[in-house]
Amino acid sequence: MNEKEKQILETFYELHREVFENRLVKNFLKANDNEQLLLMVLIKPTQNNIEIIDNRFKQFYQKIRIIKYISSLIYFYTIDFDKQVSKINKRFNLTLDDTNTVSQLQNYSSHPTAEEDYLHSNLSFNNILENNELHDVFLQLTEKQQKILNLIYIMGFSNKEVALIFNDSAQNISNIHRRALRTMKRKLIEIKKEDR
Amino acid sequence: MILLKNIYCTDRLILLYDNKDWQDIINDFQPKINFNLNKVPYHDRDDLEQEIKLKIIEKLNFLLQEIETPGFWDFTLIDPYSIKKCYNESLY
Repeated sequence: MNEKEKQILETFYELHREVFENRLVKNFLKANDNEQLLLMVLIKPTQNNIEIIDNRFKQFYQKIRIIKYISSLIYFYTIDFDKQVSKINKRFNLTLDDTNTVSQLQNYSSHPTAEEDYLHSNLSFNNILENNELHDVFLQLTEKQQKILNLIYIMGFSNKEVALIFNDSAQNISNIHRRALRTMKRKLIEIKKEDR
Repeated sequence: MILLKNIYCTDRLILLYDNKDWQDIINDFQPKINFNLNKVPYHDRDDLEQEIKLKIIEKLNFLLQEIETPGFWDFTLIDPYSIKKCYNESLY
């Protein structure tokens, strides 16, 4: 693009400033060679050139609408699904005391429990955290602290349940948990201060 | 690998997602799905992931047929046929 062409585009943007401040239009012009196409229209407004940019924009907009639709679909579907599951769980409680279920349970004993499932999976904050600083700070915690945070936040275990796993008291788990959070907070603040 | 255009032979599909297969489109949304999975209890996550993916495939069909958007000139409310005139005035 030479100087004159740039000038043509800039005057055109200035003329329709409100339109070109729109995020959709801005991003459209950034993508591919769309700006070049617009320039073509400005220099030679033939039917063909006008239609090319019109169609390009339609496709671009449609793709964005689809992405927007699907990401809200994911968001609301998760909420719906969660509601459904908790409704079912409320209505149909597990009747573990029933004699029939006890005999059935014995058949299922080979099935892994949630706890065993966790121990075999590598799901941990270690591979979930996206923020680099948070990730570093998390790795600086002791192994036990990391394990406890994983159990509480990812598996949704209560203090009592975690205590059973570690053969510890619930108060102690609660203390370790709180201390871990406090350490992470302190270290994060230090990092932020150093950045400044 | 299942190409999308083998299932829905619409012109628009070929325009928008040329030669992509299902996995590609779902992979684009995987980070968003993972983020939302953390909102439900651990043992329901696999179920939810599968349900969401099915829903996306189901809705994509509808989206590809129904979504209509304005073109560039309709959206910006600029009359392309007046451009020449305004350039004569401002530049030349």
